[in-house]
Amino acid sequence: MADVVVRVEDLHKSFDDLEVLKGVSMEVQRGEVVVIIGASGSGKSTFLKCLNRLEEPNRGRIFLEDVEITGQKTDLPKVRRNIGMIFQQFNLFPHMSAIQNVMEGPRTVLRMSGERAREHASQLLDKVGLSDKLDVKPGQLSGGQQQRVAIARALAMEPKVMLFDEVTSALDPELVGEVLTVMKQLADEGMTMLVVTHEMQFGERVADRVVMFDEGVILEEGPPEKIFQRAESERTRRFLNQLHWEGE
Amino acid sequence: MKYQWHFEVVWENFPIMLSGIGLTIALSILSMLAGAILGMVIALARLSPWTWLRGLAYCYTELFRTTPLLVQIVWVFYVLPLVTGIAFTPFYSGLVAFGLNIAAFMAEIYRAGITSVGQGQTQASLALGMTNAQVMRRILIPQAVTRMIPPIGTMWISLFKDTSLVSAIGVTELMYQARFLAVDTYRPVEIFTVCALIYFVITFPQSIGVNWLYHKYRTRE
Amino acid sequence: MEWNFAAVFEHLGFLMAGAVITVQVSILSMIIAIVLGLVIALVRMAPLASLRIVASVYIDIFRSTPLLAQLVWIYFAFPILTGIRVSPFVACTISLSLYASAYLAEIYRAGILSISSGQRHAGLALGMTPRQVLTRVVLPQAVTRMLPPMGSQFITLFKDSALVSLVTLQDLMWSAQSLAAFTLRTVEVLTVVAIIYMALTIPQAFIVNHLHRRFGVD
Repeated sequence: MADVVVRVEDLHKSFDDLEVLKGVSMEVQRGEVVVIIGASGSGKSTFLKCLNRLEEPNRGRIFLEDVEITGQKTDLPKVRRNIGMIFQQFNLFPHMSAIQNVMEGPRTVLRMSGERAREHASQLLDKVGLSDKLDVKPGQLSGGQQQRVAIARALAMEPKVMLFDEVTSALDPELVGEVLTVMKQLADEGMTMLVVTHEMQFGERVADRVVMFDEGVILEEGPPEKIFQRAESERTRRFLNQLHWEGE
Repeated sequence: MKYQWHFEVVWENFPIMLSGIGLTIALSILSMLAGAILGMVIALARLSPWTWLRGLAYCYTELFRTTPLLVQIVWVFYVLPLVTGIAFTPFYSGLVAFGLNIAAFMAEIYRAGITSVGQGQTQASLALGMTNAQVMRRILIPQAVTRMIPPIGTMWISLFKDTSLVSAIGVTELMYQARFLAVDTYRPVEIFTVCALIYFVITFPQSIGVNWLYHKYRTRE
Repeated sequence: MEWNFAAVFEHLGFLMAGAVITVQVSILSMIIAIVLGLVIALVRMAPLASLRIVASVYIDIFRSTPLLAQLVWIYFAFPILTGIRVSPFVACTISLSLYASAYLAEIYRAGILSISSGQRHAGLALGMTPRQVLTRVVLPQAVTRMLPPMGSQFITLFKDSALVSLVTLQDLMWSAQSLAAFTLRTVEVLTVVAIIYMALTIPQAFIVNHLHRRFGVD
């Protein structure tokens, strides 16, 4: 039997009159890396934020390891600690040092002892290549470094799945690589990941599956070689072409 | 014409003015404390999830922000004994009026400080699994405090100067003593000049301090 | 206690006459303060250090003393010193104008300084003179930033104008106090007067909020 971590059934989301998601269904297997692509406004970021209910879906159901998390009585903090999320704008806590940022979740949410949390956090910062920046405040770090701290912060909760919301879009081009390297490493270790990105090379090399969003629905999906080389939909081909032109 | 200054009357009556300064300072500090605490309650009400409570808090702040302070002071002075049945001294009814007034302005400062912390901070904290209370305590308030300090300083200076209004209900603070002495000594020029000078000497260094706070917390952003 | 508003409503016209004075003294003071404040702001940014100091002393004096202290000084002390007798209306208008002008001068200055040096450089790089940079580039942007705090300043001035009642100008607050003494219905009179002030202030607050949303910068 397949080991499904996330299952989404017929998800709908509107902002006032604007329908952003028009019925999205998806299953994500344990250890799978799903890369979500699509034009801006296609609903891919909203989809991600519905998965941990930072945005409240209007209709549809979401299951995390077969437990529904879209019910009225769902204990949201408890659900969210199992879902790591990385944001486009990093959103590190500016009043805390790098290591305090990583310790914050385990300390406040999991009530871990300070000593254990610190040890764990310094291991994670070492893993993302920042063992020399433990006590530095976010304001003194480059964008790439901040984003790696944010990844360590999410990892500290030992999540079952991680959501990456355009995590390299706010970075200078020369800093993108260091973040993608960390993400590839996580994928290789078997982390379940949903990645919204415009980095097509990352999709080609790391994704198990690529999903193309268009106007609030999944237009098509498949293994990366199929989507990137032989997409069925004209719109997908056009979207990928435009991306290449803009890249030059 | 040439005016003959006679500052002797000021020095003769200086102890009276000095007692007025003491009351001015005491009223300012106590009002600030009362307003800071009550304002916190109102700010939390304004940020609460319940619409009716938010509406109530909104009406409170608007009521005190859209009417003149002098009207509030005189109103409290007359209404308080009727509502409570207790005779308040002018000082205490002045304190109640200022406490209520400052609370409305403090609530707005607290609220503005908290909402000025970006939405991304709340999202990142919720995504870690924090409860709303934890987000408020661990993430929003610590960042908001530094943004609140300069406007609180500005408000403190307004308050300090505005306490002169309670002279209208007979609190014997600095302004009241000056108005009393001006009539009593027939020397309004000297008395009112020295009175203004005293306010200036106490307030101006505080203004410099508040400017420094603005500078300090702006450059750190 | 028993509320009885009948006596208040009977003399509503008397209160309204006071409200007219309140509006007059506020608007007139604001107009004078807008002009005077601009002069002070320009002096505050003058090339001559001595001029700058004069302006900043002016601003500090009026911002670091209570309005009431200034008001009684102008009403009681100033005529004795100079021998010039003025009506309560003139004395109060002068006092409110001077007070507000100090705050407006700082609003003007902050607005002008808030325009980034990049804008100045871009104007100079196009070959504009410093004066052209000021009038064509800096001021048009600064004015929109000044509007919201100027609006707030007017509301403050409007509410502060209640102080003129303490030096016998027959504004809304003065009318309230004398009507209270006449009818012995102090609480009712003051309540109605508070409502009148609110009715006059709330529309202003709406406009200022609109200005903040439209032009406000964080």
